Amino acid sequence: MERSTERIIRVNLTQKTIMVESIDSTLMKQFIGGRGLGTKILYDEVDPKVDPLSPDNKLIFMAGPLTGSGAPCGSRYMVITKSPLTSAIACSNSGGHFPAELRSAGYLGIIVEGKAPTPVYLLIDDDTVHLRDATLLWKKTTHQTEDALRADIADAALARDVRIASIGPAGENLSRIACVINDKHRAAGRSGVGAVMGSKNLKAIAVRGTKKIAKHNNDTFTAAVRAATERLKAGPVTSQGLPKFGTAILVNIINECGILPTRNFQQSVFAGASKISGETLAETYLVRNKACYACPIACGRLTKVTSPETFKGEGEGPEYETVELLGAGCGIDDLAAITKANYLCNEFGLDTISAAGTVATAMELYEKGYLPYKDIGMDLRFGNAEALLSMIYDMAYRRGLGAVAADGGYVLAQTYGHPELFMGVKRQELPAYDPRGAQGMGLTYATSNRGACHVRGYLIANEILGVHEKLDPLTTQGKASAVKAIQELTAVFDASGLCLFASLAPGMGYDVVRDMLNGLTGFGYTSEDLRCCGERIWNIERLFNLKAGFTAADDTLPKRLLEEPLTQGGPKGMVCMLDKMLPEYYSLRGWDTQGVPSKEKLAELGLL
Amino acid sequence: MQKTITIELKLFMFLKKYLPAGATEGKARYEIEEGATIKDLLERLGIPIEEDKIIVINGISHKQSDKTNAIRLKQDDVVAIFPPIAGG
Repeated sequence: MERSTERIIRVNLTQKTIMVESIDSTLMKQFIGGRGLGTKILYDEVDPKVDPLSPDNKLIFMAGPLTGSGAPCGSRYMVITKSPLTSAIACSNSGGHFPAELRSAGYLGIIVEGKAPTPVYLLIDDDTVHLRDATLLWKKTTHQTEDALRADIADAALARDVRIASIGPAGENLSRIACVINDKHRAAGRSGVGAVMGSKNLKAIAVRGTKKIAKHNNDTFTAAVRAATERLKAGPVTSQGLPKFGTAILVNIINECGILPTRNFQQSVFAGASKISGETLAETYLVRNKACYACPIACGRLTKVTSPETFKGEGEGPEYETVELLGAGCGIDDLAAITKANYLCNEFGLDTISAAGTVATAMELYEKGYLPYKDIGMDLRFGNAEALLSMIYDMAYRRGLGAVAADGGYVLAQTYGHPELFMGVKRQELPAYDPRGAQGMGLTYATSNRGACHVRGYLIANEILGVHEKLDPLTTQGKASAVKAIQELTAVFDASGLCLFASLAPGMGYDVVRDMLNGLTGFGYTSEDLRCCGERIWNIERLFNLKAGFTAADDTLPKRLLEEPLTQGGPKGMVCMLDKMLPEYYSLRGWDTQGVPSKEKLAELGLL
Repeated sequence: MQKTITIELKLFMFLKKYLPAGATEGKARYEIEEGATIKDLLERLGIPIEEDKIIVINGISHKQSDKTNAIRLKQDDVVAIFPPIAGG
């Protein structure tokens, strides 16, 4: 089958126009797709100073070339826009089956512009694309939306086969921590991308694709896919640990290492850790594991809670970040309650990490006496599971304290006069590793272009888990170069449409991705070409943020992590020594002391 | 008679089967001769030395390696051993 140029759908909701465009192949080669291409389009087409919730912001859904191709773990897409949470670039990743279906319909991505006067959804059936009325879907949860949308389609086969991405009430209510949920349980979670979708009155996208993705060279592609699959099947993490226990397996080891964020990062060891671990989840609520499209790992957890009545439900997860932050982060060791909170976040379309971080902020404000009981009407102490569930409702529907908390932990802490109690970077809540005991992870958090994030350079893999080269978690030596390297590799995985977890198998690096991409696209990349693509993507994201008004002063961490030593565990006495890493990092990046890329660096990357 | 020390031993996931008799909730107080190394400990427990694993000693993680194997145990050390894991 002859391979032609990749296509994208451009929808203008104000003008009600739909166009299909070809993507210039030079651009494809430079930015790969997914996170890279989507960011390039946003950078070229949207003023970085735009109000994120205005019709002038664009919402870009972008898969990678390997998405849906049959490449193992090639299931991902990105939702790219200017973030209403951080005001920086937002770029949220999700898997499941929706992204591959979009590719099978013949598209790499969708650019959404403008704002619909009334709620709509986008229906894509191969070459037929149209907007439909979503009035009846509005106010529904993500799960109800999927079911109601299928019921709205007359053609029974189409109704059955479409894959759906949607927002819940949180996105409709413009919560700045709202996510986009696809396939009911997979979240493009971070940075409030769901609020941007809500601001456009776009409730959902449904897609069916029946086409085969053309390959430049079927034989070399198939051989490269086979080689990658063998590595994933040989790697102990990807063939044993993740399939059997899921990501929540990390709870115990992160706790043993004394970096398990507990009660809003006030402590780093949690007495109830084993009660909320992956092992306990496997013994209690796990029904079976579940895979995204073409994934041999299957880390997803299909779970069901049958009692107590208050926490009944079924769905997927919780994942590590979720179980840790809704659990230890809020001082809660009741796995049923945490699992229920996770279900609610998915159904309401709230990012679990930010929701948990916001609740933990509220709990600390309350315990310190800064958040009066009369403002919340409940006992918001750490460990109160009912209060956690109640706050999740409130944030999704902007009622009670949720009127403020729906905008995240920063706005909440600021409103009550104690911004220092917000544990985040660039106004985005921190993930579930205390960087005082994993120094390089602190640098990752501080420099992540989308604000605090664990998947923009997962140095925990090296510092704690010993995947690839093991680094000493407590020193700063060598961390700047390690962070730079992993940031670039990650950008390539994200642009290609591969799940980052594929990189956790030995030998799954640039060479393997290169062979698959070359077999598919015929671009003839070298591994160094791909690393350069990663660096290009990192720098264009940085340029977007600089133009949005960010400076080196934003590349920092909460004061608590920089100044208050840990009081427990192996890293007792440590703070995060960011100042020892950041200047070296800027220098390695070819940026000046203010974190601005030099002309030479931009010229080298073709970004001038 | 050779002097002994006692450590706190924790084994996780697939390694739980190597726990000594009397262990509860994946943990045991474990007696071993003074001067014993991580390698000695693994041998006593029957845990394959060469297989990848993460060994957390007093809250600091170490990857399976000759260097890690040579670490000498002290009285009341806390040793937690995990199969290779990752995620996040």
